[in-house]
Amino acid sequence: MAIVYRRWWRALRGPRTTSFPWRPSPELFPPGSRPAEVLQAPPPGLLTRSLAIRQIDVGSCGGPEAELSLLTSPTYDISRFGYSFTPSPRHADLLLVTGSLQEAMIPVLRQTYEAMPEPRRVVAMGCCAAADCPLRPAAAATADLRKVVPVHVWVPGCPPAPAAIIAGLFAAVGREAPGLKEWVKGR
Amino acid sequence: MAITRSAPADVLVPAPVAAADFGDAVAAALGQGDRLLTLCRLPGGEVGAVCDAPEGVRGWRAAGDGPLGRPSASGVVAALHDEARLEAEGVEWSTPAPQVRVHGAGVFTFPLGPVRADVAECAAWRLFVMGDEVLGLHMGFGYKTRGMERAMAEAGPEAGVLLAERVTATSVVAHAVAYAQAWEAALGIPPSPGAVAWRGVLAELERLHSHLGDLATLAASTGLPVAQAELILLREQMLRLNQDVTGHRYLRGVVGVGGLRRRPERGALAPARLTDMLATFAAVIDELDGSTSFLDRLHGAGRIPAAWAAAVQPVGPVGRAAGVPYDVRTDRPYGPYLRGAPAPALETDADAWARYRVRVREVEASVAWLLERLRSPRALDEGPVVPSQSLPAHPVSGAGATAMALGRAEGPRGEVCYLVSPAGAWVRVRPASAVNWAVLPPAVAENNVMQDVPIIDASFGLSVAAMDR
Repeated sequence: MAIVYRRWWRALRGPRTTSFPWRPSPELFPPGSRPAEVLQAPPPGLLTRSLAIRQIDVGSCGGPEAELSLLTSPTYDISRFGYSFTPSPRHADLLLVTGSLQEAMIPVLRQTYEAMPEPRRVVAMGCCAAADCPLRPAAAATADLRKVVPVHVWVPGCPPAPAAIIAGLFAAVGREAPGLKEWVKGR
Repeated sequence: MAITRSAPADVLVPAPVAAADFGDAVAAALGQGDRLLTLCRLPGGEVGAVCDAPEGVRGWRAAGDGPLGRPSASGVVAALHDEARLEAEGVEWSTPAPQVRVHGAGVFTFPLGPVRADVAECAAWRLFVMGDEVLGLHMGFGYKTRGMERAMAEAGPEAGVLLAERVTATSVVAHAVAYAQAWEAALGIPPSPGAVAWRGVLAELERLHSHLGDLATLAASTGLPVAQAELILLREQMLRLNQDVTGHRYLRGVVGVGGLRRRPERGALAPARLTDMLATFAAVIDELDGSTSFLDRLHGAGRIPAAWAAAVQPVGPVGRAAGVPYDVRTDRPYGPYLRGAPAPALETDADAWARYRVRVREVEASVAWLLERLRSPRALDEGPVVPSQSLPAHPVSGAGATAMALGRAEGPRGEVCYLVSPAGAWVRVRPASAVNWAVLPPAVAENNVMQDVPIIDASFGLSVAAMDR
């Protein structure tokens, strides 16, 4: 009986934890982070306000994935921009490549890219995706991401902060992220 | 209080053993109850093994060519994945391969990866299922072997710490501290007391954000988005605290060999930020503990069979949830933990619920430990933390050069070991996940259905990057 009352009491009282921000955080970009770089113009397409994103890890330390898992959290919440992650590249409008490319992942990356419908946009994440990164692991030295798939936007950072990733996603469809202009001005 | 516990790192002189007797030497040590710390291929064709014995650390190296002698079953299991690496490098290890072969009418092989889930690291899993029941799991690694050990060896001790931090993002400080302690033991340069105190604070901050992330993933895997959102919000708060204290959300670029690379911001580390987090955390956990749908899914899911737990001796929360009471902070105390470590958490159920409970209690213990350190902050403000003297040239030549040294630290996912050689200019790392991946297949194959797999995966919290280093 006590259990039943306890349940009723819980239901009436509602959840005690109400720490959700009622709007996403204004401190989007941590100090020291760099804005995304557009390497080549993304292909034009109808879908620019709602994107299905497929992430592929080609040799990361797990840091980019940790930050990506925060994109769906209340603080950043990419669903308010119409963005979502998809398990299948067949449904993906954008390929998010994390880490430094390793030999074994080249065919997997190519296959994933080929499976996507047109227009395909590619965003590379992390400083180690760049060929001149001093901390690039030894085994990756020969593989160049841009020779395997066309990379439209590069988001630097080790790992890039969630806000910087959002700005990179916006850049991949020719849009500007909220708060980006103020942040660039303030630097 | 006199400090008489063992040193944080050990300088090793591994005994040469004929290749054919190598396995027997390792097996004999394991038979006495020693723990196999690492089994790795050394430069120059030799295979080395390091065991943790009550009186200290012991090492062997297989001198000469030829097949290695057969070690005991427990030795094979603990070294399961390192063994795969040895095989890949052309070393013959004459043991029955622990390959899973499942066949029969109605058995379906469910391929998963290397591109899998919504956001995940690349690894190719094959789940063998019959209907809903999972019969076995085969894990395929090696998609992103980045050659971190080689890169660290080429970079030398000073720059190598930056690479050690990038082996896996889940244990940045633990890898950096273990790496630094190994080099400090090898080169004989103790860090300053201020640097040691800071290393402890950073390690516990890392444990907080890592455990909060793991618990959030666990809540999401049981279909509780509210609890997940609450916990991931707390994680974001901790990451921002890290940013304010060290200038990096994942605490990179702070720990260095011989001390710290720069002094963290003491003022940003307000106790209120930790107590506020803990208050919300306690409320969320209270709600979770009252949700039968959550507890029902966790109890009995992914139970590690007792024989496997005894043979593999998993490390970190996975091990402590399976009744393996090993924690480097209390059993082999080093630097910041010589004056007391966070209260240990131990469970014996070996299932997802036990791992959840251990993580919850470790969050509470870490906050309590941190608050105690912040109450008497003199150690953090005391003296220089950045070493004034530069490190000797790499590689160290001459007769005085240390052959081999071991450094270890307790990360959020368990014990991290580094084996370094100043004379030979090589580095070997044994991350926590390299041990714990070995118990995942038997745990998955233990009376679970497909719907349990995401819960089991989340409750283990293993890193692919650490495996494919």
